[in-house]
Amino acid sequence: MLSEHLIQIVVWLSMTLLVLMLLLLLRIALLRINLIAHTSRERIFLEVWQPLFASAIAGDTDNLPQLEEDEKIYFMKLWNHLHQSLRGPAKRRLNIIALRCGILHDVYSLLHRKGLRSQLLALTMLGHLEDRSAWTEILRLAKHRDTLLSFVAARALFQIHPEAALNDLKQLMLEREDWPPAQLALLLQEANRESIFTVLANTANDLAGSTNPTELGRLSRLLHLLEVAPYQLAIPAVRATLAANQKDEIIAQCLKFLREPSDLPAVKKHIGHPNWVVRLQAAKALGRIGSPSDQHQLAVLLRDPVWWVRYRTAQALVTLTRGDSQTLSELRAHLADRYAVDMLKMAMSEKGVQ
Amino acid sequence: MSHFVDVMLSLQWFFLLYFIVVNGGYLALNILSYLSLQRHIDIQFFEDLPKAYNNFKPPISLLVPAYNEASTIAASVRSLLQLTYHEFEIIVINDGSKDETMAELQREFDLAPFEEAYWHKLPTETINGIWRSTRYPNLRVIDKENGGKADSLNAGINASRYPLFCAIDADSVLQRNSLQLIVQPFIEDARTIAAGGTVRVVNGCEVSGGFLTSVGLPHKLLPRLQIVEYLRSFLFGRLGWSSFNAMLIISGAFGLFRKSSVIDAGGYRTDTVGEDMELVVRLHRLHRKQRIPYRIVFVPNPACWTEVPETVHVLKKQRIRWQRGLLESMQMNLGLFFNLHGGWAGWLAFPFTLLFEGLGPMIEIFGYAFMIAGFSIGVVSLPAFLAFTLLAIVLGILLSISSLMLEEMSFHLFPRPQQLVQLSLVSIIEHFGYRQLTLVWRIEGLLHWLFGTKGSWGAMPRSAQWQQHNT
Repeated sequence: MLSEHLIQIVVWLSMTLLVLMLLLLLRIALLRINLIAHTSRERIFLEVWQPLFASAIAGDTDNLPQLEEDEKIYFMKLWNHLHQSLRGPAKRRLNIIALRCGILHDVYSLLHRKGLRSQLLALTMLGHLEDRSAWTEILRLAKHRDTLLSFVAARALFQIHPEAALNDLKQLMLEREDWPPAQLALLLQEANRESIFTVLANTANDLAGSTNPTELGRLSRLLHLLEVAPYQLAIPAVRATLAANQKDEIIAQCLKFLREPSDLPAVKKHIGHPNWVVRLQAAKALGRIGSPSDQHQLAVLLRDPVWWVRYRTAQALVTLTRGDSQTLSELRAHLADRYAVDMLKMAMSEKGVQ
Repeated sequence: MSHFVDVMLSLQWFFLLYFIVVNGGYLALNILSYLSLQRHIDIQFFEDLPKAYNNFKPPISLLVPAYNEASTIAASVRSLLQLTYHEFEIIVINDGSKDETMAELQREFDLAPFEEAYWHKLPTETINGIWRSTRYPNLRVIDKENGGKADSLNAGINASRYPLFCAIDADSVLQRNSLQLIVQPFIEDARTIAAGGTVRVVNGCEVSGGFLTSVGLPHKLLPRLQIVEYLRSFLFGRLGWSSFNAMLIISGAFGLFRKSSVIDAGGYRTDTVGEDMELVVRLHRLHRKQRIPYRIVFVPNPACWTEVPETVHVLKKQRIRWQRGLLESMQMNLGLFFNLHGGWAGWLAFPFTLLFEGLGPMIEIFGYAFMIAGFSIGVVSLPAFLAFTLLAIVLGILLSISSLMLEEMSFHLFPRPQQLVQLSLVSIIEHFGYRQLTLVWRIEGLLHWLFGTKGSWGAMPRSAQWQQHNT
């Protein structure tokens, strides 16, 4: 039988858990009270400040009242929200508003606090304010192992000074696998500086013929990033890479860029590539830049063993022939392969070609 | 007699140990969820900001299997068409419905035959035809012979064009930004192969135009009890496991998957009633076995609302099915169990789920029987009996209340304070009868698994009152 001692422990444990449960209930009540109070304070703040922001964005920044201590967080939220929504001169006026309200000092204190929320908020604001004075601290956070924190810090640096940010972060951008290329591309697109893309294109050019796995990884990331670069800046590096590199993934990435008929020989060279991803990109590129006379060469890929290659080829054929139903029907009539016929029919059907 | 008493005493310690481990496990999960949610709250502010990331988000194929859904299918598809996402297609799979589902779709969306070059990547029942809406080019309907939900999803995967597919129930109510929420893990980490969203209870809520407009509580007690259950299951169950990449289930009502990973794994299995869980466990097993880095992620934001049973009969059928599905999923993937490369999924989540969720009901019922028997023959004293009963109930209530707290901490979806009071009361009430009732149903599910009773579509009669009022 269980000892009296053990039973007593169980009873005491139950009582403790009961108290804990009551504390949780109390916490729920407090959270709700807090939420109601916050919502009410924020509503009052917005009633006063939204019109002030509106007139300040329109140019009247002289009549801004003193911010109360407990209003600062609402101010920052509203300010950030507007910054994310507005464009052009309105953003600059928002920065003037923040400086006039003396918020910068509070932003610095947030940056030096331990909490993730404070640091993220501070980094976002410093980025929008394009404030260089905390560069070293932000750079330190960009090297932090926390993916989100480091990325938001990197974004802030690019907003503050894109060229300097690239100089300090290029290595990290090519090496940190936890920074998604798509997000990095967005960051570069926001910065929108030719000088940045020139540096990246030159780096890609330097790595064009690389065979080393680490360098190939960097080259692949660079090509991802160059997808948002102005075409004329990126294309020389892409062509150089396509000519010099044998890696399937890299070839497929390069083919995505091509838009000019002068690149047709390079595209056609890869139509019969052993890797289906390369063949697929070659088919798409040929559809983009080829002429109707290329249709028969492209139609060969309608017999490809991979469904996706056949599908993209069929779509490319519809593009190449500009959806001309007679040409496509003739082409279809000459196809002996049932799968090829089905695929072309589907692509025509998708585009509403009879 | 003394031998019998010895056995009883040993059993007493076994049950005590079981009790400590299971509740210790749940408390640990709770703490992990708390920490994980804390971080989520920290970054929530940034998720609320307008984003311009659309061009970088991968396109998504929405797969909607439908079986006898004539009354709700048109409204569901209409709401799906209004989702805010830059590129997506909707594929409704009519799984040989016996009602007017197909006719309803044809009428509502002006379907025309589509010459699809259908790719049989995954084997399915015969496809009778593929149709495309003449009004919405991103809407296609596959009309096929009846083969079950898993078979329908496989057909949808075969016809899908995009790299990610989202499996949803035909009667799920999504939020306009649901896809944006659930795609986030795929953008943040290329290793992500699946993401599950939080599913909440739509009973008692108001829905307009296919979207939730106001959160409320149902009048009936049964769905209210399930609200607390859902909070517990999603907010600390899945969130806790997800924090160390060991979540074993993504609800069939709303989950996003990397198509290539699912095809490589062989698609959905049609020989289980728990196809959603089985797929996730298999993805863990195969990725672990092949040493491929991967992530299966839980997104805590409420993204999908579903109707829960309002009658005991329907709820019983659902729970039997869930329990059976869970055990089948475990049985089919036993290779993950303490596998050398199994990681947290194989060494912790799988054994924990198998022992405490799968076989737990049996042990618990034996525990109850033991306490009563022990008490009646004098092996368990009255104070011991009362003390352990008290501890079990208090712990259960504590876990329910803590999930309510996690909800209030993070999303505070229930707008009125009275609703919180009512849910707190429900958290207490559920431990006096309801939990024991579901325990019995789970044992029934366990027996169905043991004796291999044949399963079928998990169709559930819906009242869809929220839809009738508002769409």
